[in-house]
Amino acid sequence: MSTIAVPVARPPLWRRLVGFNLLAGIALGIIGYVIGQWIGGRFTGVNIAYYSKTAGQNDIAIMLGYFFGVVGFLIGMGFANYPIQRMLGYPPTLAEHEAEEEGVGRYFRLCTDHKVVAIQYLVGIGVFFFIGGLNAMLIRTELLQPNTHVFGANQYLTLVGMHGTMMMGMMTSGILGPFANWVVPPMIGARRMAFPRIESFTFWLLMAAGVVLITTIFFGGFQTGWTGYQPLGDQNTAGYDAYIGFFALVGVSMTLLGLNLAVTIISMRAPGMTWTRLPIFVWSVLATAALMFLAAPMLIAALLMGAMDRTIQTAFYVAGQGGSSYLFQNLFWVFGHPEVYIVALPGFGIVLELLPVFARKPLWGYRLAVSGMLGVGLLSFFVWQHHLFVSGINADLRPFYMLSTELISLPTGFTFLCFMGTLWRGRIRFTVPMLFCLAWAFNFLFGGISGVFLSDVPSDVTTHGSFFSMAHFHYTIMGGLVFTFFAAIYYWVPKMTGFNLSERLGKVHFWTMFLAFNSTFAPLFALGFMGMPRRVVTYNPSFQALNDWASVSAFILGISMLIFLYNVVWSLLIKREPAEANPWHSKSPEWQLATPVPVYDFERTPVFDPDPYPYGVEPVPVGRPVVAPAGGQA
Amino acid sequence: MEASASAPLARHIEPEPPGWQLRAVWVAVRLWIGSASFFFLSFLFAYFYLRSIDSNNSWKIGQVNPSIGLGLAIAALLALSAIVFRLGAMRPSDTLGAGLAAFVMAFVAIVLQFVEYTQLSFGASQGGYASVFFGWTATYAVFGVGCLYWIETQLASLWRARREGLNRPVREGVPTSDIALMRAGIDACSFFWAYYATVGVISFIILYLV
Repeated sequence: MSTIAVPVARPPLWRRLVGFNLLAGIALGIIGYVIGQWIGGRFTGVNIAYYSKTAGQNDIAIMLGYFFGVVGFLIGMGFANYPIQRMLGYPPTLAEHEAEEEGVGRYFRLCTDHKVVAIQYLVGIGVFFFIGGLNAMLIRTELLQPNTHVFGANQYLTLVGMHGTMMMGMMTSGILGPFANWVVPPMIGARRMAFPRIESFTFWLLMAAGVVLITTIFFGGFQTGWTGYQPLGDQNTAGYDAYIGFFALVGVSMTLLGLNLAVTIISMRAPGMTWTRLPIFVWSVLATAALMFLAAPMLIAALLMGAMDRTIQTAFYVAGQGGSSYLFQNLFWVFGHPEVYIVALPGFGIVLELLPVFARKPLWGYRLAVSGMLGVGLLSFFVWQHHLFVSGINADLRPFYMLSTELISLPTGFTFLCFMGTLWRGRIRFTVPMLFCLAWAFNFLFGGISGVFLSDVPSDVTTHGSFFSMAHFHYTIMGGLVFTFFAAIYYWVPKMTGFNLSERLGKVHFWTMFLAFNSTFAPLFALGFMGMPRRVVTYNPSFQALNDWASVSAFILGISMLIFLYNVVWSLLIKREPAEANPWHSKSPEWQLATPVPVYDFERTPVFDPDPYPYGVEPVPVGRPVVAPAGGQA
Repeated sequence: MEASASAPLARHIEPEPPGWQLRAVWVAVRLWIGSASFFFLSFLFAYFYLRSIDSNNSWKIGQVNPSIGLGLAIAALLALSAIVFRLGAMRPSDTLGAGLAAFVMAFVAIVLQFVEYTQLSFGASQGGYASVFFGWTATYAVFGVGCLYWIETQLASLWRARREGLNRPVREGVPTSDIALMRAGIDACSFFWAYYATVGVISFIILYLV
């Protein structure tokens, strides 16, 4: 039998601040950045004394600065200690800084407890989500008038790029980081992820990436948008180095996060947790994880090629020297389209996981839902060239990619079928998480149907690069991912933190967000059809009325986020009303754990009953429950 | 650390099922190979894409021919290193010696790669081929250093375990015996190294012979 220690006295605060933690990480990160800049300057013959004049345009120095800065940060966080131990031949260990006696300090350092990492993710990603949202507010402020009136064109395009890049980069881990890390181990009967240090590593790497992206404002920004297209990228100022650094780090983080989750699900399922019994959310995580660890390496490679073009003077994307900007487009979208489903699939999983709880019915079409998610994942690798329909690709290629893209709507439709089948004749409870799930169906339907227009060559030729495509992907990504992200927050946070979120404020947040979201993005479909292109700071004055409507709606959308923030602060930091162990009367394993959840999750390895969603049916007399249900009725 | 041996004990928790971590290592290395394959597929795609479009007639600008002798030496060392390590991993009594030999050969191969850069008669900007050549071989060599680190950790673990008599007690937080985990690690490492060397040989064929 293994054992755990009883609580011991904590050292004083000053001693806890000394060591490998966030403070040391920041300090070594800054030192590393300066060293990298210095080395880069030496490579390129720039004297350190004249840095202020030249560093902003020295790509080698900036790239090395980022590299050494991130390495220094990770060393300061304590990520080098274990690899050094392993170099010296010490055997592997799996746990580090998990003891509850370490208090909140665990959240500011390398901690291998999957629950701590999940909350780190939730807060960390939340911060960058709000920064990205703030960029959106600034974008809509600029678009209040048809001519430039707040920002210049370069600043505006940098804002657009930062908004898109931050959202797409950070929110890829938006559900897997906080919720898969927290929920998947107890859902499958494990106490931890397969590689807990890697789990922590992915989070801190993502945070370092976010900081790297923000530094672009010191180097002139980047005007390429989140896609970073060439040859604009190669021609960009040094601000583009931050884009490369950010997305490459995000790619590494995504790859490792996906691998860790997939390995955990494949190899650490408890007795009875067969493939046909796996909770639907875990299936969605597995499908997403596969996309992550297969697609993200292509992004990393594409960005490395861009970095080499800018530093050691290769010519991957320089047409005049044997390269091609289309090479970047191809590599980027081989990653980029699966990326869309990396963002969308966890949302599918959350909706289908929550519906049975709030409809008090078993999930309808379990196998259909699984095959739908796996089908979407598989097909997503065969559709990327629809992004290049208007880029001059061989016309003979268009029909295949048009059909493969349209085909993907079939497995997506499976999810909607399961959604409707589960709601049918259910005893529906309109809780806040359920409202967000219902909104997902509404939003994603619009996003999906408008996607068919973009997959179809004739209509894509007229709508590509317009506000129509922007409205489409905001309906799928914000309407699909962000709404389910909030569903997951309202659903799981009481278990994760031990405190309730205010239901009343949650409903205010939901209705404000839902109405403002649709009011913001629905007019953009019309603007797109009328011919307004993306990524331009000036536009035809006849478009102003709709733009103003969208901007005001966007500000209300921003206010809805403030309502959410207020709810979090009020409920979790001020009121702190303890949550019931199982307030939703869920049958899912994670809700059968005690609240607050102990470090070791459960004392005995659980054995599962064969039905993952036994709502409204008599218990099946097979197996034994994990622990006594913490509450609830069918 | 999660628990210290000297702290008083309060609660008993059941250890996780034996074999979970071993299976995790086995699965992880195979999925990792999938990731690495997609990474190098990008360079393979770049090679054929740029070669086929021959933008501005600049696939090769001037005399762009790396030394086949050096390339062959690198590929041969990689292949030999992988074979020796893989065979050694299958026979516990030979693992340490075979691993050391494999490590040295891999190290020499990577050093030769950097030596080759000093001997080349062309630069990175001399066309699409030169770009792919530098990009592919440089990333391969850099990640090869990572593989060297991995091999070293396995050999160091094995060496330390042998010095301590291979019979250390199971420690807190390690769900299976050290020895089984160590063997699983060596197996995974040698399996990945065999894959990685295969990529090296394929890159030699593509970049030097095709």
